[in-house]
Amino acid sequence: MAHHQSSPIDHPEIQSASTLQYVSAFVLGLALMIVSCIITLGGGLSQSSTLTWIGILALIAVVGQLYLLFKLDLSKTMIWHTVSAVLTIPLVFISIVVTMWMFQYLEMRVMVGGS
Amino acid sequence: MSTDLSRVADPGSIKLYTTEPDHHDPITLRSIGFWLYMMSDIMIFAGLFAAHGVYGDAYGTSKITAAQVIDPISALFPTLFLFSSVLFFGLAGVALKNNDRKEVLRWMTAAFVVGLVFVLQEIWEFVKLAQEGAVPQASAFLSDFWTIVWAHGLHVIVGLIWMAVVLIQVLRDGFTEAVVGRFLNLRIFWFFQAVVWVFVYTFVYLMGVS
Repeated sequence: MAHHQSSPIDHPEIQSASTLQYVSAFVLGLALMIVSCIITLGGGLSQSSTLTWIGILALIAVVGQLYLLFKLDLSKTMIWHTVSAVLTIPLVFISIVVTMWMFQYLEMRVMVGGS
Repeated sequence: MSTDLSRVADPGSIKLYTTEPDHHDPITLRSIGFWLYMMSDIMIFAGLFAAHGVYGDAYGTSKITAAQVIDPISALFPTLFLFSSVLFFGLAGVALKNNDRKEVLRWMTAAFVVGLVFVLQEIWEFVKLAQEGAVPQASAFLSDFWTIVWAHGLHVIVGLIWMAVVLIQVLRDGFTEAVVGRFLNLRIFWFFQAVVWVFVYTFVYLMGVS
């Protein structure tokens, strides 16, 4: 990677733009959301398996978008974007899952809230 | 090959690290800096989704349930608008790669218009909800629903203002280093709105009616 670009447009992050990948991200995202919608409204599955399946589809959509839109990979240009994104995942997971677990347990122990 | 061997033969010439600071170009530095901001921005949504996990069915004394305020089929339209806007902005990025100012302006305008449609559609939807009494103060679920959707909506509004500014700068200054750097950061910001929407649509809209 040259450190002194002759033109800002030669920057590798500008040069990585790709019509095929952006169109793929669009099609993938939209198709998966429509499939999730059909699974949810179809009503053929139990609530827990519906949630599992739409969760899996959302995960595929997001991983697909992260790769196709942001080009997160191990190249010299993108390695630190990728590393910081990977390190953010456990923080997001801990925030959501532990908070939900804590409140559910709290509700169970103090017997308030009803539902 | 022979030069490599001679270097290895002389341990004094091996350099393990540089003593001078590395001079990265400003665009790379701004991109990684803004990316790190985006990672902390994601934590705002993590907090909101955690709250949603807790208050998702906390209706209290309100008679309004999630299934009454959420219609996943009509919510496919904002999904289509936002994903299209992201695609158009991506195509503006492809035009920038090809150094085609006219195409950049055309696709950015398209991305802006479709993004605006997304926001207006969302405003219209929530005005209807408010008229039906589904206001944020009615229940914990509704507070949570309004907050998540509008935390995302506010991001999109900020993105649109930013897009209008960069559009004017591309028109006025062309592809200078400063403008290209801003374009790249806006692209990161705008693409992220589609990623966050996948979670909003799945865990707020679809989960609400499952």
